[in-house]
Amino acid sequence: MSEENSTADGEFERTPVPDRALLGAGKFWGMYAGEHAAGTEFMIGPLFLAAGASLQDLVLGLLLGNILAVLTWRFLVAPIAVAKRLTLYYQLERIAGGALVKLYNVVNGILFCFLAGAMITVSASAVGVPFNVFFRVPESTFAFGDTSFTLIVILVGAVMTVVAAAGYQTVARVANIAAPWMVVVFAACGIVSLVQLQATSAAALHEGAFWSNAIAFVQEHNGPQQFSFWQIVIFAWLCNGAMHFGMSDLSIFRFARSKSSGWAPAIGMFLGHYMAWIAAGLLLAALLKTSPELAISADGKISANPGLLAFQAVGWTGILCVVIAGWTTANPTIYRAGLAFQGVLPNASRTTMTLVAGAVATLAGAFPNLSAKLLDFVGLYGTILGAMGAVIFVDHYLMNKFGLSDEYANRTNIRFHAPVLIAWLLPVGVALYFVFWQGLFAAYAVVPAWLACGLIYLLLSKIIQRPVAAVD
Amino acid sequence: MRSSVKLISILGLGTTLLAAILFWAGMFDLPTAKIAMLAGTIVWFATCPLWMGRELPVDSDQVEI
Repeated sequence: MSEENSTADGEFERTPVPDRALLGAGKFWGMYAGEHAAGTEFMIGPLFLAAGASLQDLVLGLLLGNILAVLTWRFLVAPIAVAKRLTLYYQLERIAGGALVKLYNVVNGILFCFLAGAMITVSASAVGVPFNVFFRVPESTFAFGDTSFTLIVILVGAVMTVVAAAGYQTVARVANIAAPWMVVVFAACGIVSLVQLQATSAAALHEGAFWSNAIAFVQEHNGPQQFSFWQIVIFAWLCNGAMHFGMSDLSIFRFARSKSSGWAPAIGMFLGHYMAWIAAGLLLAALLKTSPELAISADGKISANPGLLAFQAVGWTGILCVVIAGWTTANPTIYRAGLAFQGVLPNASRTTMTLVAGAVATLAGAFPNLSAKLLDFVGLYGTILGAMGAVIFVDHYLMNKFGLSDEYANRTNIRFHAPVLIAWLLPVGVALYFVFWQGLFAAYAVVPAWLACGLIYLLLSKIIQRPVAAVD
Repeated sequence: MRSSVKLISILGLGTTLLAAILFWAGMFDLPTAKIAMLAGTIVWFATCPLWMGRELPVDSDQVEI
């Protein structure tokens, strides 16, 4: 990513957003209404059911988790965004130095590739339905699905990559138009599924037998699994950890006229991460009731095929929705990963680097198991990127109070501020150890890693910082 | 003209949702509901670009999941 253009090719990348460009709260409510009803929702909803989450836990857990997420945006992100009016990347550069921001960006870019890969899988699952090509999850993590499905993944990935190489604008316009329709399609999926599950009365909904029967069916094939109330709460709260705890949404809220715009993610959370997740979960429950044979893989296990689920419920509208949802999520993801890679190889063109990012994403998308582990991946994503937000928080609120200089890299004109790197990598490394070697649910690591990162950064700054002259 | 097209778009979107509700109410069978949803979808995408602003929101290059 070039130093002159830290994030995308938008305005005010390296200057505070001026008053004339500020937006009222209504704009943010409109914006977030279309966010978080994305391709990921088609995977995450069914995964809750497959993981054994009870309906009551899901309804209450998502409610609490989403409230916590909204509070985090409102009281953690919005105040800093409004006070500084800078992007995450430029704030980090002023604190940690340009070289460290490039490293952070590459890590971000690699994670984006995996996220985009999952979205390519999701879209390919829908493209395959009319050709009777189905998404099957193999036993091993790094094993391809059926050959015909892999070919569709390559085709879908290639198209998405070429479009992303042309820029994010065109697809962003499609996403803008599609957003209200996608929310409606998710709602329609939920309604149709409830009818298919014969859960149309208050008594049937309250009893929830349609859900527990589906869980029992899954566990009969996949073996016993549990997904507790607190796992649901923590996942719903922290699946967007990179955006709120990690401060990525500073880039959005820097345009907010007032901090109260920080409430706006509530609409995205409750449409996307509440209604859409439950609706997508109901799609799997309905399929298990109406055509269970379609959900059983060759190895006898149940896997959620988002395209098939949506097609069974709402027909071609569902196919279109899954393709567009996956595509509109993958497009900015591949584009931004390309920008991140370009930062390391500034002589390479953005188009070339976007093609590289798209190729990596397509390869990731060809492993169906990666998208089937989206619950774990999203937690990991929040843990790795979320921790860096603590550096921004500490720098904004605590440095001066402890007699230290904020924006130290900017004041001392250094390109690499080691305390930030240590404070980031140490807790994230420990978290990764617990996730990969001790089986910790990844989303549980987000807050401890964030707190540790902030504390370590403060302590190391106290040790390392030398007095510096004040600069703007 | 613009408000008429906007109204048609909203009717298209409404049709997509209404089809599901009518299926719930037993007034549509599933194949009919699916056709109505697709018709609503086509109307939405055919008319929406005619009135929805081409200006991109400030979050359009951000990744949200």
